Amino acid sequence: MINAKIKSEAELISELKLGSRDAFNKIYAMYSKRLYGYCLKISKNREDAEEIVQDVFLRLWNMKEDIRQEETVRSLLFIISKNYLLKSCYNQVHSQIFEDYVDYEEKLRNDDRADSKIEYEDFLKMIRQAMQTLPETQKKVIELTRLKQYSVQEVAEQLSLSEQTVRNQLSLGLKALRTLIGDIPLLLLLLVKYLP
Amino acid sequence: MKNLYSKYINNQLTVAELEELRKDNPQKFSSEMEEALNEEWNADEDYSQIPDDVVAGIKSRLDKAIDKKRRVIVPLYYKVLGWAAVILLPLFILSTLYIYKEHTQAVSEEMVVATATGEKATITLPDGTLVTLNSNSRLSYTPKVYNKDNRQISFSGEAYFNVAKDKERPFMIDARGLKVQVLGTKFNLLVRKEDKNAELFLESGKVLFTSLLKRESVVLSPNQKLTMNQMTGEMSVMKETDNMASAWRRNEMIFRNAPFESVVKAIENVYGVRIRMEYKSDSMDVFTGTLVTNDLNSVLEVIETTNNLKATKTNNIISIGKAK
Repeated sequence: MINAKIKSEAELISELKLGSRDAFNKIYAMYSKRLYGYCLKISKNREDAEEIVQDVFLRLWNMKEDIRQEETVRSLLFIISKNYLLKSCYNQVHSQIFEDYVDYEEKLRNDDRADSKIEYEDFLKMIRQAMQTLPETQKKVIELTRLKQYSVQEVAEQLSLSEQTVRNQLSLGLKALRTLIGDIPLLLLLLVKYLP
Repeated sequence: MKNLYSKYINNQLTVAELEELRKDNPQKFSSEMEEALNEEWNADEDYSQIPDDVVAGIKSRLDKAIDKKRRVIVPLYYKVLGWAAVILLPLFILSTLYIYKEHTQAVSEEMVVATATGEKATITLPDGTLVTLNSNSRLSYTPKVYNKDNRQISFSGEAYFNVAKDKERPFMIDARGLKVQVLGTKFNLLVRKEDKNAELFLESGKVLFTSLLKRESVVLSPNQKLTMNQMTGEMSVMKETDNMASAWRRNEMIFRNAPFESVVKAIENVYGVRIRMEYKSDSMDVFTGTLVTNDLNSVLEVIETTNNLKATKTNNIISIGKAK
């Protein structure tokens, strides 16, 4: 059984090396869910995971002629995905919004009122929804600095505001957000309110 | 205790730990994270719960990306082709017109060498073939085509051919009612409309003589003379040892028991004169001897003395009468 699988995978690789789209599709069918689940767990959001899976398989297709026959699909996918994921992780770890998430998650874990877990993605959704209640400028400033990772200076330029104003708006907005999401019942209320 | 990296993956970080993690420089981050990623990949977690439509959605975008990538190459290629067509099409049209014009010119533009009565000419064809034309002869060829695949000429009259050797490109003569094909030889060809026979005397080499009327071909060997009846196309080959056929090149006409009328005709032809016989000649009169073709007076002298005649020349008309 295992032998049969290894053999068929070796066949798939040799066919892929020759440019078989069919072999490529079979490999995709065999590994896409696994890779997607893995990428989702690491990147922590669906958009990134989907993009990485797409990029990884596209890369696999484009480098098909250079694949060494003795390689396994499993190791190939790891090698290709690794670089995309490392980049994604590094940006994540150094982002403000992720810090907010960790902070929130930590609080949540210590709060016995709620289910002690929230996925990062749900956290993001929640933040976005909570942001809808903020004044326009605060919303924009938070959107740009926290979610899109612009610097205060860049945001000031983009919105034609002084840097000080941006900083003020940001701190006001974050304070408001923290109040909003820090209170879990209110959060649930918000979620109910803003879910389609 | 799990390290910070696997804690990151499993969403177990505290804010303090995240602060720690951020202190690692990118190189350390990468190598440590890679290890954690590898561990996670090999943990073989069960992801079969992931809905089909998610991977199907990625697949359709992936397929588009792959096919788009292909298309990106193709339009560029076509763009180049398109521009090439834009530039090359008028060029092709112009060159086609040019070639067509050149070609029709080449077909129509032929070299003609002709001799008038009493004239002789020697010409060298592009391949080195020497042709000596006797009077009232015409040779034509197309310089653009001549010596490409073959060496084709059209001919009428009488000429001596010294054909340059070239096995690749046969030398071919088109004449009235006959064709001659050779590789490299020396021969004399006589084909005049007004004559009864066309004649070819082969000096050396080999020629293929074709009678168009009879659709028959004869291969000649040196010192053979072929005579073809121009009316019927009938051919006959005779051994000929003397140099009658090349006499004209030595400015000679050789007659052997020739009827006097044919001698007169020959003189008329060669010198471009009209001869009026002012006496009733005996049809049995024959002439044997050699006449020169470049001195009319000496010819007339020979005629006068051998037949006891008197020739009077006024302009281009010669009256021949009995000597008193």
